[in-house]
Amino acid sequence: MLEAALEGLAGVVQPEAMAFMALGVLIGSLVGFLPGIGGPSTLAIMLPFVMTMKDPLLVIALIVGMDAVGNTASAFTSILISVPGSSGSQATILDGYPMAKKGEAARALSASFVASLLGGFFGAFVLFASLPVLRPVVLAFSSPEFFILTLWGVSMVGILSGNAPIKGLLAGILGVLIGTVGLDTKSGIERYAFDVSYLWEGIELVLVALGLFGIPEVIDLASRKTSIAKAEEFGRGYLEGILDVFRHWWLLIRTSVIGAWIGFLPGLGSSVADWFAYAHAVQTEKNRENFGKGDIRGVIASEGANNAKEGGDYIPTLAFGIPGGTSTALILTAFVAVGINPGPDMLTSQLNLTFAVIWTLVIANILATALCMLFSRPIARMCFLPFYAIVPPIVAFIFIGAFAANFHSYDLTALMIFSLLGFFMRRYGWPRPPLLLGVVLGEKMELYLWLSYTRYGLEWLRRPMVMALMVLLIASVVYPIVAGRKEKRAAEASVAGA
Amino acid sequence: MRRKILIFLFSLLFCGFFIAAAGQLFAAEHPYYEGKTIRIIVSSSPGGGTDTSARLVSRFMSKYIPGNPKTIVQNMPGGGGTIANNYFASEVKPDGLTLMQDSSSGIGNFVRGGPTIKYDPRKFKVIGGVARPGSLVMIRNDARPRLMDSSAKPVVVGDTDGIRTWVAMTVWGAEYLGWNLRWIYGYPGSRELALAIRQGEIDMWATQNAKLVKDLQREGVVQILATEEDRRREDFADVPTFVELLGSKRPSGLAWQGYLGWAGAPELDKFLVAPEGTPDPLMKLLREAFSKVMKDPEVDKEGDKFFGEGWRPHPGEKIEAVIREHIAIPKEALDFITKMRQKYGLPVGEKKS
Repeated sequence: MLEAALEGLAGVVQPEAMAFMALGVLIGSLVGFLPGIGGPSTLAIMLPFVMTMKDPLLVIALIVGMDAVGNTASAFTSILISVPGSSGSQATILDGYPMAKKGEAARALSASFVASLLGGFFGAFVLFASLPVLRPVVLAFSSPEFFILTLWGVSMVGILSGNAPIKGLLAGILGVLIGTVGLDTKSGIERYAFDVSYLWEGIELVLVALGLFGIPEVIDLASRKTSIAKAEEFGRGYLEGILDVFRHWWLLIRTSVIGAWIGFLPGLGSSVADWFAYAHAVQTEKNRENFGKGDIRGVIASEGANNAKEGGDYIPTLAFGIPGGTSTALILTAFVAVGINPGPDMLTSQLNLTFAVIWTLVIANILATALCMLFSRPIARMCFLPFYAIVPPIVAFIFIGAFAANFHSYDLTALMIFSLLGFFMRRYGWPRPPLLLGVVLGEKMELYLWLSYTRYGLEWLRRPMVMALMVLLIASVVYPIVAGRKEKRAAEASVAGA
Repeated sequence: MRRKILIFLFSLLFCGFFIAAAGQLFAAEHPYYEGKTIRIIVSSSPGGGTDTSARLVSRFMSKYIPGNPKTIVQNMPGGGGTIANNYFASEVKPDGLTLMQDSSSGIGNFVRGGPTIKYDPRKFKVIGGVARPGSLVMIRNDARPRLMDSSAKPVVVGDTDGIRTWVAMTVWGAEYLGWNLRWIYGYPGSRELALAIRQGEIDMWATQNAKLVKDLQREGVVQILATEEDRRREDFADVPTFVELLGSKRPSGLAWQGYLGWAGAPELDKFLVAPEGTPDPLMKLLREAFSKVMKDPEVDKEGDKFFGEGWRPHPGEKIEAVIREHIAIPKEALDFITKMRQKYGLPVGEKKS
């Protein structure tokens, strides 16, 4: 194994491979930085070129390098302007943007980049460590378990984001309903599409995210008539952010485990790791009253998880040739074209290539972090621009990002509708994250429930892992409500006593 | 006054001729596709057979189309191809700049009918297609003893929409060979089905992907029961055809017509189409380019890698004829298919008027 590991390392550090990796990192970072342009569409554009390459090591360096770092640079827009650069950085907004408003953008950015780096390392490590046990772990999760996980995700985020659990759950349910819009993929039956062909494919997630989070914050900024950051100084936050990650090392490890775990479950998709990790942080950390108001732990949890997920994503891809998401599906196509055979070969005759993937994940993360660190100071300065200079370009940025979803005029209509919804939700204290996660997971929830029921009837409820996950789900939903009531009663008692 | 009008009309006519001639000249010097981009819509998700064939063809098409246009691939999965087909029929202009990579599922859905079908595949113009060797129907080793034991739990067949051509083998197997089966459908694509058969969530599935089947065999998960085509596959020479398996129990008349109507012709696998109304000169251009792509030695090599040995290209005109023939199966045979689907709990579409 050591020989294969060294062979893999030698393959990816050769000058040509490093040059391709640097190119991949540059493209991946740029794509992550720009909202609306997703990693999968960039990979799809690059695929014809990649498939003509002959050397599998160069292909790994380029596309794995690109795919590994998309979530690192996406923190820029999530933190600075409340617009998620990619679907993996949605939860970063919740604490990152309030930090930017408090004048702690530099701290939030440096913490996010270091958390991304270490999360990326962790994902690579999980991939390495799981090599001997890859297959049984992946095979342990069937449709019923996936259904419970989707249910868990929506309800956990519903309960934990904001201080209104019932409103959170209702927002999650609304998200699930929005996720059902379009043609039912099983039967082709039209649902809430009103014969409009634009709606057949459902509503693009990017439009929901930009509408719910982007525009309402811009309106807030314009009405405040200030800069994004209320404080007029850049602060010492840069080093502070790096140290924060090490101060909260245990949280980083836990959320990275969650990220890698979500990644290796083929079926949950790539945009939920940050939400699961964020909800876990809110649920388990002490002094959680600052979450959502600019707590550095929220940034660390989300950013650590979304990069750790990338390593996890490769586990089913390499072990079975079953990609975890759209990006890995396209990477798989490129792999097959250049003679890499995902499946049992990756653990025997092509083990050096598996290690090349692992090393690329590590090195690409270092390169991306260095690149982001280099640019973070000048980019973060936008927080100090007056509102009249920053609002118009952000609005343009959001509209371009939205239009890139389908290049259809209806994209802009959908953006407006979700902006209005986001504005009113923000105004009346309805948590927005559960709605977004509901849209992400709604379709999967329905699919896995359908498969569970048609395959097992009601028997699936008696599966040991389903029961264990149900207990966890109920505990994670009930505990915060009970704890919240207890805290409220204690506070009332102390007021009455005084 | 009349003279002025005449002069004006003559000038107009002259201008018209001039513009048309200039257009011809321009076209001769600048091919239609120069500087343009062809968008290829794929009626399934990334990574499957339809997607792979679209990406393979798209890589080489621009090389053989005068003007060397760029090509981009866009996946539009859902409803066994219904979403992409509906979109293609109603939204796409016949300018040769948007094409669709479709599969036999699109035809199967149309034959099944129903209110969601808003396209007619007979109206599309086929550029060309590739047909992989027939599907191999596999069963998990631990489920094999239950196949002929009607007192045991039924063997679970998994599919995306319950109408794929190979599903006909399982239905006719249940009806005429006494296979103990039940069907579940709704899986998004082949990658989810491959995982499901490994997990034991489903026991029976079929695919044309030789590599995947060999992997599953090597892992000790499955054994192969039959191949879909009327002759044995070169790369699985010891696997009997479904017809061989039926032997003397093979039905005749309407029942067999129904089977053939569902299972489809072997030529109908993955094909590239242009929308209704695409001008003939453009079709000629695209078909010629497709034919040249198929003769490219690199495509030949890569095709073996993705589809397994034995895949074959087919010209567009031939596939168009096969589609027409396939759809024109007698109403009685279609009713027979519907009856079988109802009997075995598979989705049944509403009949078209």
